Amino acid sequence: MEGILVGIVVYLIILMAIGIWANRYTENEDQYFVGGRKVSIIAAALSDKASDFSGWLMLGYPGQAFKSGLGAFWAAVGCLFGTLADYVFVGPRLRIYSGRFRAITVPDYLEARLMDDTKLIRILGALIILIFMTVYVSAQYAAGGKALAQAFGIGVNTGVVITAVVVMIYVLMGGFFAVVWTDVVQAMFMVATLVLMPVLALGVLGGFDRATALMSSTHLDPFGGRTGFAALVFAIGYASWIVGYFGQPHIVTRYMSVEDPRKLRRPGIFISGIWTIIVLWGAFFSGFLGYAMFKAGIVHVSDPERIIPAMAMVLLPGWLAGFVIAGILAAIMSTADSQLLVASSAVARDVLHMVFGVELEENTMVNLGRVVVFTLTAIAIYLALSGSKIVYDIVATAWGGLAVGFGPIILLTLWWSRVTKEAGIAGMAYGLISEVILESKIYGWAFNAKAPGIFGVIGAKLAGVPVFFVNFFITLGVIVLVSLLTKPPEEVVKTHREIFKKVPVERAISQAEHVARFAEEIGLMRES
Amino acid sequence: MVNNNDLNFTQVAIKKLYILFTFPPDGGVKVLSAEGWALLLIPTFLAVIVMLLYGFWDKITGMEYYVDDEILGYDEKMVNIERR
Repeated sequence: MEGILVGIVVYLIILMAIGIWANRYTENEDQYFVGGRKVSIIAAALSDKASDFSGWLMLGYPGQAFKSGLGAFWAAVGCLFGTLADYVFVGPRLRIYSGRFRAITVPDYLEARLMDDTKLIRILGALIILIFMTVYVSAQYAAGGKALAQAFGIGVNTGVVITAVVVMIYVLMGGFFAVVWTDVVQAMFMVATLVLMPVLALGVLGGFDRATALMSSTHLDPFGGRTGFAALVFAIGYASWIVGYFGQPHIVTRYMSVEDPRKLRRPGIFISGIWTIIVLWGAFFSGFLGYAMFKAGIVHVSDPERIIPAMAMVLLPGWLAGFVIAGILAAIMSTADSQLLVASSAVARDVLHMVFGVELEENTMVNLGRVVVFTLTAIAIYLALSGSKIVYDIVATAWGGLAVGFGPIILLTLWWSRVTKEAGIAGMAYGLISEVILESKIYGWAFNAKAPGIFGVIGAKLAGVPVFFVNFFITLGVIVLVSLLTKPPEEVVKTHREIFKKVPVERAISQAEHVARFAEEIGLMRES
Repeated sequence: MVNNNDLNFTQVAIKKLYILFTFPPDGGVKVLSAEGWALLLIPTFLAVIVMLLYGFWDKITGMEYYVDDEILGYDEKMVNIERR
């Protein structure tokens, strides 16, 4: 127990030190919310992925791999291609636009891009962020509660409060810079944990074939034993995470902060892509092999989502298990902090500053953001304590709301000059209202046959597919339709066509050419 | 329910030996099928191809997005802090 505590305390000291260091870069909104658009590509790319992969990666997803077996790997496929799609379709273009518009938040960008003078896009954006991001943060606190409960034998609710307080402290201190650089440290902890656990599990099980020998055929089937249309629905159900990537403000804000849009192409996509492959394989095999350990009686868990902390405590000495628990907390905190920051920007900047025109000194605006962080933490703690504690489900609910609310409009505004503000308002309003009703009143996060009336018939056919997957494409259709029925200002179309112009790549100058130029400049050599 | 804290390394080692000696547990060896390996490997391989293609698309086409100071839009105060 003491050993575990040592590992976690060392980790927390590192986070606090980063928070204090980052405080010097936090004087105004630009710096607090997007790091002055000058974040190095390595930090931005690692922070992007650490913010993306949360307690879901360390607890929720291994829990699914534990329960469903090989079929759960489809979720990894969805997340991997979602990550790549973000870099290909969103990252560079969003950075270019947000730099031009000096946009700090996603609603900032959408309002400027669509020339919305009604403030409705900003209000809708803030509402989507506030509702779904608070739910998302509560999922992280629930995950933190579970990890600490497994490690220290304390109550889950006590663990929830401890996690929330630690995250809140360093978000309050350092803003975006603290979040980005703690994310980098956390990304390292996460990758180390997720490489270590499956390797140790393989060792204790005596090899991969011995592990699979302990499992049922259904556990080893890529479609969970289903065939035909049911197999397709099963795979889509898991892989559907992909469409959510375009609309996650805590992820896409990282692209808005990066020092140069061209670096998102190289090395950005390589850093994120390779890191994602490693952690997804690690998380999947932790749960998959954890199940074999469970069947062999090596590890005991009452909740599949606690499999990684349980494995760490069996396979590692105390202090090293402490670092693994720290790795789990890292995943949780690195997401929760980014989400708190985005939610705080939605209230402090998008609503109070830009909608109601509250003009305060820069420092006061930053402090206002901090008050919002404090308030949202309290609400998220309440949700985590009172609601469901199944991390996979809570994350899917929140992910879905953001995916439908922002994904289609972000994607279309980056790639289609013809999108209008009316279409943006209609699409975001539809996304917000439909997701709230479908997820809270009719289905929950995934289609199922228990829904009333016609919804039950549809739910039976698509059972297991997340609601957001279908709703994403409906929202896309709504925006395209309304755009075709309305007309964007010519200025918007012109800007869109000009801003993404491409130019020939500058050839790198070799060392010999540098020397020759210098020699010419000082007169040692004459141009022939 | 057994608490994992109650299992020490010796007990884990004994469990491990038990698995090694009783393998395969039900008389037949269940291994991952070719479809199973395909699910694990093909998407990962395709992802690497996508990374390489997109990562070097500027080299392949010889063209890249135009970027100037206006687009970079750095926060001036931050630039000054860094200079200091």
